[in-house]
Amino acid sequence: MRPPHLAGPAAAPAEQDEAQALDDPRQDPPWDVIVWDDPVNLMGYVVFVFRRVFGFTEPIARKLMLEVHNRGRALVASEPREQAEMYVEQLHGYGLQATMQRST
Amino acid sequence: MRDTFSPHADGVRMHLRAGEASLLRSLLDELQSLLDDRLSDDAVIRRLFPATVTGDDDADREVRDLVHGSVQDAKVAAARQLQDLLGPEDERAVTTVLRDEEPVLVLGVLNDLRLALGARVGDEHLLGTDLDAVPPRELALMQLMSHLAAWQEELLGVLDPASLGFYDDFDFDDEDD
Repeated sequence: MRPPHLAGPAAAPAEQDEAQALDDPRQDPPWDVIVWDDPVNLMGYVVFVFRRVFGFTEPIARKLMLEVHNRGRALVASEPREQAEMYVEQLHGYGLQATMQRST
Repeated sequence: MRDTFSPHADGVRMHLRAGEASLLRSLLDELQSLLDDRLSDDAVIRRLFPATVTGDDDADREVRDLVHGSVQDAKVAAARQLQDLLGPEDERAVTTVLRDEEPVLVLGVLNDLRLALGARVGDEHLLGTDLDAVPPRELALMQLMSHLAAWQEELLGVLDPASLGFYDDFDFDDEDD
């Protein structure tokens, strides 16, 4: 358990450390956004969605689409939770099977 | 050569024969009804609103609550907008120009319709290799899916030809590499 903060000037460095820790991305590990294969979505449509949602170039979008197609899944982004949620929302909007999970 | 979607100076021209427009209206009605109810035990709804988080059921519920409401609203609005573009049922062909974001909207609605049909057919038949084993009803739905897929690819070819570039050098016989 974290000890209580001391009042007064002596507490300042501790508060500063805590503020820095909150800003430290290592305290909020990223979430991986995974797109899963399914038998309905067209390959060209998946490339289109990847280009539109992530701004990928066509070769990158194609590579990831083929990874989904051949391996059943592809990691398409690794972001802080809020951004990962936005990607999942967008991908579900386009009908792709996308999930997020804590990055390992 | 198909002519359902073609380039137009102001966007994408959409041309549907009377029977095609009527069929699309009917499919959109069914989709809108399903989306309005959003019954969680319906296979179509489960497919249109899939899991959001893997490995953490609590987080999945949390993110579903957070994002699926707006996904539902967007899908309902898109289906309704396509209905409006088709106009009233009058047994006539439909020719209109899709402007601004409308081509993307139509592309997405066609995809939702195919996902809904696919959920009715079931993966067992979609992934199967023996068409003779598919019951007539499911086979008819699969043919309808193919028809909508052809529309989607035609629209993609107008909207973003690069997205179909993989066809140029994709080896369909060597997919496991």
